[in-house]
Amino acid sequence: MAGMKLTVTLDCDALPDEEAEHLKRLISAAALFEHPRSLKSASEGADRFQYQVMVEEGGRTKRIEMDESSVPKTCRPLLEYLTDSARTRPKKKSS
Amino acid sequence: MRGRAGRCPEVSRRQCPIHCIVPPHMLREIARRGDARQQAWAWQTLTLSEQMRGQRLALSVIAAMGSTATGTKRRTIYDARNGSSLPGRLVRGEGDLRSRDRAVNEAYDGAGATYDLYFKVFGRNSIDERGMRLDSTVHYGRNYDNAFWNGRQMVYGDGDGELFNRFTIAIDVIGHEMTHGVTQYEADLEYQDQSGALNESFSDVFGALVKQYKRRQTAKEADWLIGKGLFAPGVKGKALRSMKEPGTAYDDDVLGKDPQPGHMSDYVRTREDNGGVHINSGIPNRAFYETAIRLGGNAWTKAGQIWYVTLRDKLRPTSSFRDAARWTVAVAKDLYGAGNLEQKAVREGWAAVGIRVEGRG
Repeated sequence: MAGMKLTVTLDCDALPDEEAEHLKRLISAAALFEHPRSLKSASEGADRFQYQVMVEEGGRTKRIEMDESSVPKTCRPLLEYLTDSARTRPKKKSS
Repeated sequence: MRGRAGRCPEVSRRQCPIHCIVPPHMLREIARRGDARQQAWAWQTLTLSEQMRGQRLALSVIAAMGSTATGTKRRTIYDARNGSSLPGRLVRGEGDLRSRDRAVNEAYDGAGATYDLYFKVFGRNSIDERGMRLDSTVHYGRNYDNAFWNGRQMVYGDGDGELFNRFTIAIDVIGHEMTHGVTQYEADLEYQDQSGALNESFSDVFGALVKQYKRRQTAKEADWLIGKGLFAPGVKGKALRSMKEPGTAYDDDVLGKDPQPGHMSDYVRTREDNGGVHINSGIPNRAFYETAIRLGGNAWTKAGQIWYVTLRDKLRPTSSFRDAARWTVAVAKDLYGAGNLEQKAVREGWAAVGIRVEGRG
């Protein structure tokens, strides 16, 4: 509905230890490297969310695009965490 | 395919998804004759499966079973209880007393206001023109900053409280989502690039008209803002979008700046948002505003009529902005005569956003 974009970039090395471990558990549970690069929905509808997630881990990089109705259950906790983080961390204004 | 309780005569064997203890013929009788709660339960049980979604023959058969007399609303409001299963628990049916839950009442009233605009102004009996039941789910998800149409119903989140309020708070949001349903049954504009931006724009247009009709505002009196009241305190912005001045609705540290263009020279080419359907909708939105202002009076009377007939009769799934411009000018001629002020206003409305339609008037 809103058509707005929320963006967040998180570096586990820059997070407090507890939060970093929590994020790593979410990433592990999401098993992003096992999913295809695109999870699109063929169903009708409008105003659903779309997600683009990129993870860099152990020298590997994976980027996935997901339609809201196609998000695997294992990925939902990670997306919720990232969405909450995007809402609360101030966006840097460009100079 | 044979259901546990029997086959479905109306739908081909290959497509029949219905498996239930209560036989379908009994469910259909309940859907026709039961009270509001019984009808809602029967309909829920008969709800189409993923296989049947989008198959209009099957949809029209099911819809025909529950079609209502013209002018009769059938609203059912569900509560998802912060989960993601739809439709959720039935909490209010048509004619039921008001709930203590304001989101429930807002969804109910907003669906009614949208139905009334379409029926009283445009002569349309619900989303499918056959009196389709209006299903809405509130309290979807957790801190869910969104509302959407899923192909069968409207769905509303509560917002996170820091950026967004609950999405039922703005009546134009409700009109917007219901209009996605109307579009699906009419032009079925593909949700991508220009046809997708038109899809979004028609939803903003009729969402705005629901608000203006409810308030009995003229085009001049209206604020032409979509989603005013949605932002939580502290967010720097008036609304989600401005039809009058695309790109000016908000500028916030977290949400960024309103990216909408108001002219074809600023058209945004992007792969995001299905080709910018929520971004480039600013262009046809402003074309409608410019048309309505030039015509004066209430925007739903002439501009709304022209846009409605265009959506219903003229546009196709892959229609472009230029197609919409040409057809609205043609419909203005059909409805009000060639060269009259109505056709002139539509032509000028599109010219204001950089799309010229040849011809006089």
